[in-house]
Amino acid sequence: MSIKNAESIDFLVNGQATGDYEIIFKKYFPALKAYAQLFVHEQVAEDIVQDILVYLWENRGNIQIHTSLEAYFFKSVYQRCISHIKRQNLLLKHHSQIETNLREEEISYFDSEKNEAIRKLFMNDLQKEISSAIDSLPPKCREVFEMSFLQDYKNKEISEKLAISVNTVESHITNALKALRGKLAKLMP
Amino acid sequence: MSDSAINESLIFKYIQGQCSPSEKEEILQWLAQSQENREVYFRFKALFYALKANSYAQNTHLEQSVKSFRQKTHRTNRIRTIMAISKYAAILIIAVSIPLFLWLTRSPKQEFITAQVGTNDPIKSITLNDSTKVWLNKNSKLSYPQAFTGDERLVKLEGEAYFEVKKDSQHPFKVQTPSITICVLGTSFNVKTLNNHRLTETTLAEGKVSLQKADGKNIAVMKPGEQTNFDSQTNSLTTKEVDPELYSGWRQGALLLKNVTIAEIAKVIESMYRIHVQVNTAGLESKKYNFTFHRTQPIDTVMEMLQFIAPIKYKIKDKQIHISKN
Repeated sequence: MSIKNAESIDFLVNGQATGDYEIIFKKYFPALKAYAQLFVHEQVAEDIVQDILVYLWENRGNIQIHTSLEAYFFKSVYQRCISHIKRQNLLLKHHSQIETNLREEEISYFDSEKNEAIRKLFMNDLQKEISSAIDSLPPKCREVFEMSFLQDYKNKEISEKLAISVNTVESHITNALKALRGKLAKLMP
Repeated sequence: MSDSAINESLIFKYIQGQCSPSEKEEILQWLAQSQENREVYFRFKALFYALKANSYAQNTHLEQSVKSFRQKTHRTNRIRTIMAISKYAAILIIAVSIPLFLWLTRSPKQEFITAQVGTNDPIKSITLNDSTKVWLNKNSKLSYPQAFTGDERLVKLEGEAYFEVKKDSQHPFKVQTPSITICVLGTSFNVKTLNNHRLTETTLAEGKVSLQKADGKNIAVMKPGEQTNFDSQTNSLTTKEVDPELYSGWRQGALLLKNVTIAEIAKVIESMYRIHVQVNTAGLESKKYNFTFHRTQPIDTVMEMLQFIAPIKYKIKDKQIHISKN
């Protein structure tokens, strides 16, 4: 199910049934939740994105969106995550100044208004390029990379499942990342 | 090139939070080296989470989120409907309730009855309409409604009274003195106002009471066996432990005092005869006596009896009794 942004807004203004809005929910929720996790933990991310989507639904008659719906969503998620981080003082909880500085720089790097490629990455607009890069990895390397990146297995678990050493797992990941590194730099300048 | 010094799998371990402390140290050093290094890391981190979007888009995961979204919006839809209806309902309620209120409140404006006991009158025992029992001592005044209505049972007291409050947690019982209000659930206690009603002495025999200042602020919660003294002028509260029997003795007439000090006996005499008793019996403070008397006995007789059992002498002058060591 795909809708263009213009249609989405039309849905918002005219769509009275929640059913219509669920199409929007399904389209944006996965990307927004994943994006929020750049800043906060999974459960917080889920709550924040739910809140934003519920808020828009409840105030559908009153909200004026001047940008695209997509840009509006990403901006809202970003702002809510930042205010969550500030409220919880999460930046001060790091053990070293280096880490705190790193987090600050990272937060600004992931701002979708400054870095449009981020939004494209999460909205799967870059999927073709990414998957072709992943597909071109050697089979074993790709398998390890996918287990690690997509399925969240720890290196030790992968080594047990595939009956290879942890060192081998790490070298596969190293090779995969090396191969992806140049590609990513082109996609996200 | 500085960035080639890092093993890339370390970057990924760091994103996943799998680094050991020494690995973390290593990656942080590398990240601190250059912005280029940091951007490599940022891109990988973004990729890592962006790929998660695919798994969140899968039905099992998405259905869960849609379900919880549905619950939230349905709830707000229901609230919206209720709000819309309630707007009209509110107008209707107001329209109906003003005349109703006027009609309901037109009749008896809770009328208070005042019971008064003078210096020479006998102690009065009153049963209120909720079957709470009150003993009203000499020189005391109690105002109470013929029938309790509303949320609370309020009576007003100047002087001294002992209350055995009928338990009713829905309708708190309140004793208002000129200086404080005592809130009660169901309990027995003695209240006495002193110094022209500036002070209120509360002695709790059983149950639980709380004390409120005139402005409604809670100042204390009392436990059985406690006695508090509140001074409305200095706004101070003192608490001590006492034998509540000694402070409610006046209502029974005959009194059996066991294992008490001269000072405690003096307190009882004070309460029974409403006369000030001054005690100056250095050296006898810890001595305990048993002492029985009846309130129909004149004060002279009682003091003579006391003189008989304890090594004291007394003098009565200007409504004051001075007790001293013999």
